[in-house]
Amino acid sequence: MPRVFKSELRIVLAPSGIALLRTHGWLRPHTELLAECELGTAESAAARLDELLNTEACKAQPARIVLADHWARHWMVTPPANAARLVDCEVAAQARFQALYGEPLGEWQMSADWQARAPFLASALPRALLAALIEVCDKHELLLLEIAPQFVASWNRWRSGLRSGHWFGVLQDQWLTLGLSTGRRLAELRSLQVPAEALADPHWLRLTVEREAMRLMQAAPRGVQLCGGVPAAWLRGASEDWTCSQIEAPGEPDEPGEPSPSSGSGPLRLAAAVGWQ
Amino acid sequence: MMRAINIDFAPASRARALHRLPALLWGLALLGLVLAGSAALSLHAQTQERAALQAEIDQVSARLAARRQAQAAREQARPEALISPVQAQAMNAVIAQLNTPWSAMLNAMETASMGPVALLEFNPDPKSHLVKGVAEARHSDAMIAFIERLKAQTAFNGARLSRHEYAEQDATQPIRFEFELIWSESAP
Repeated sequence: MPRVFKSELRIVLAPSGIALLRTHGWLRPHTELLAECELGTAESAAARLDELLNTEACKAQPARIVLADHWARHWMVTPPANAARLVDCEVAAQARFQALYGEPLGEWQMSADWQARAPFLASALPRALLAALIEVCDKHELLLLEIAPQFVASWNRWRSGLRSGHWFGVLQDQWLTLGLSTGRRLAELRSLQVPAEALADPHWLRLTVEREAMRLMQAAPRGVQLCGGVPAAWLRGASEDWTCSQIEAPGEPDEPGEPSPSSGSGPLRLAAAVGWQ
Repeated sequence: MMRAINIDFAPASRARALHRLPALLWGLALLGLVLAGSAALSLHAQTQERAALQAEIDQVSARLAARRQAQAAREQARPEALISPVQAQAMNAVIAQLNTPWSAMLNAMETASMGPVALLEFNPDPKSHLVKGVAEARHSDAMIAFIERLKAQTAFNGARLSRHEYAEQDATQPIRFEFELIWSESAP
C-alpha cells in the first residue's frame, strides 16, 4: 500500500533515550508520541526498543528510524579522477575512513550518497547496533523504510530552506555536525564535541565556525542555520554580519534572557530536529 | 533547493521499494488500472455484441440455406414443361400472326395504292415487324410517288425501295419493284 494511505512508526534513538512516534494523515500529517524511554548504553538500545514495541503492540507497520549523530561517523569522499565503477568510489570511501579514524570499516556499516564526479558524503553506523535494530524490527514485522543518521535526515528535511552563504548545523546532546554547501550540494562536513561551557557562550559558535572555515580553506560564512537543541545564547549571538538561526519552529522566537524552548536534548528534541514533531 | 543526500541503512526489499513509490506513481498506476479495466469491459461488451451478431448471421445463413434447399427441392419436384420449345415457338409465331395489325396496314396500303400502281404481293413478317411487298407501276415516277405515300402513312415507321426492274415480257413494259415497310408498334 502506498505510504500516503498508511500511518508510519517513527523511531528516534538518541544517546539519552528512545522515542516511539506515529504519524497519521496525508495532506496534514500529525505525529503522536506513543512511548519514550531512557537509554543507558548503545548495546541496550535494541532491547529497549523491543520493550517499547511490545508495550505499544506495534506490529507489521512501516517504520523509519533516525539515529543521533553521536553514533554515526560522517566523512566526505572525493571520488578518484578515473572512477569508472561504483567499486572505485567504495574503495576510495573505505580508504578515507581508515585515514580519518585509524581503523578499517570492519565494525562499521557504510552507506554513501555515491557520486562519480563530485565529492560525496559517506556515513557509517556501528554494524552491531544496526544489526540488532533490524533484528528487532524483523521480529515485530516492521517494514523498514529508512534508517538514517540525524544529520542526513535533518538535511533532507530542511534542505529547501537552506540559504546560500550559510552553513547548516545539527546539534544534539552536545554533538555538533556542520555542513558546508557549494552550489546545491553538500561540499564539506565537520563534526565537533561541544564543551558544556560553550552552550552559554554567545560567541563560541561564530569563533568555531570561522576556525573550521579556515581549516577548510573556505571563506567564513554569513551565519549558521541550526536545528536540534540549540542553546538560546547562540541565537542571541547574532550581529550585523553574523546570523545564527534555528531552522525548525520558526514561529517561536525566544525571549531574551530565557532558555530557548527548542533547546535541550533527548529523543524528542531529535525528532523535532528532523521535522517529525 | 539543495540536493537531497541519498544515504539509507535500511535493508533493501521489494515491499520497501513499493512503499516508497511517490504518490504520483501510485496515481498513475491507479489510472492505468482504471483504463485497463475500462478497456477490458469495452472489449468484453464488443465481444458479446460480435458473438450476438455472428449468431444472427448464422441464423440468417441457416434460414437462407434452408430456403435454397427447399427451392431446389421444389424445382426438382416440378413436372416437366407441358409445352415443348418447338411448340412454344410455333405458338408464339401464331400469336404474332394474330397480333399483326392487318386492318391498319391494309388501310394504309389502300390509301397509298391510289394511282397507276398495282400491288402484286404483300407479305408481313411479324417476327421482324417488316412487310415485304411487290408492286407494278407504269413508270418510275409513279413508283417513287407510291413509296413516298407509304412513308407518309402513320401505320408504318418507314418504307424503302429494295429492288426494281422493267417487265420486258409485258407489252406495256411496266416497272416492277419490291419494297419493304416497317410497321409501327402502336398500330392497332
